[in-house]
Amino acid sequence: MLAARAALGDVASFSELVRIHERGVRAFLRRLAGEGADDLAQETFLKAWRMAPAWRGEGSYRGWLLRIAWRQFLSDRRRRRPGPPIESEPSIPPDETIRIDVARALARLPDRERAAALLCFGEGCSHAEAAAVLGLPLGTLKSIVARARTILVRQLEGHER
Amino acid sequence: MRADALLHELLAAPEREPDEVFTRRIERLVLAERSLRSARRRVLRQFVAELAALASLAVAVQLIRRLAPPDSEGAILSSPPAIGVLMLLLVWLCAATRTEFLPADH
Repeated sequence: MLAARAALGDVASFSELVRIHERGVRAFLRRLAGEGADDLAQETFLKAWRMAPAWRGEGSYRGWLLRIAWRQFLSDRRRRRPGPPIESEPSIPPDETIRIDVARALARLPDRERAAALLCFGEGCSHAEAAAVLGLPLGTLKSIVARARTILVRQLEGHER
Repeated sequence: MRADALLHELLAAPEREPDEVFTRRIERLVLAERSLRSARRRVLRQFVAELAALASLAVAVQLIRRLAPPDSEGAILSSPPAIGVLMLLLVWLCAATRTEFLPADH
């Protein structure tokens, strides 16, 4: 197992984990933090390397990385005020205006709601997984996701009319 | 449900090949950090060894000072304090030279 070998200090295994997870971690940070997301992603992976011996195999490695990424984002947020989040390209653009409006609505959400929406809708995390990543009780996470969903769906419905 | 599917589609991370440049950059940083840590550990070990050597030398000097004036050279070397001094000097010699024979990555 790659994570177990990385925990023992195997750089090649850790690099393989970076190769597997960088897309998800960077996409999450990019839509969360905007400019400087790649620096945050770099810090996230370096921190993951330093903390690799502490990896206990509880939950998914992706969830563990996203949790580190979220904490990096919060700590960066406390240090300085970041730029607006990037409205990233979706995999299949169903309609350009919907995409732009949803990206704008997402950018306007508070950090926690945006992160919760990205994890549950974008990354396909379960509520329990997203709650663990954000360090929130399950009930709180569910209500945050519901609130974010209402705002985003309102944008979608505006286009259907 | 359609809205959820659409949200998933809009918010999913874009499909692309792994970014090899980013991966290699992280790998280089990890390797650099590992060698830096190893160098730090080596310096710390060397410092501790030299501190121990210095301490044993200081104790040896103290013991020599306490020795009574000897009758002869043979007598001083066979006396218990002198043997103690010689042992301490041996410890100092071992500690001082030990780090020079350690492998670079330890």
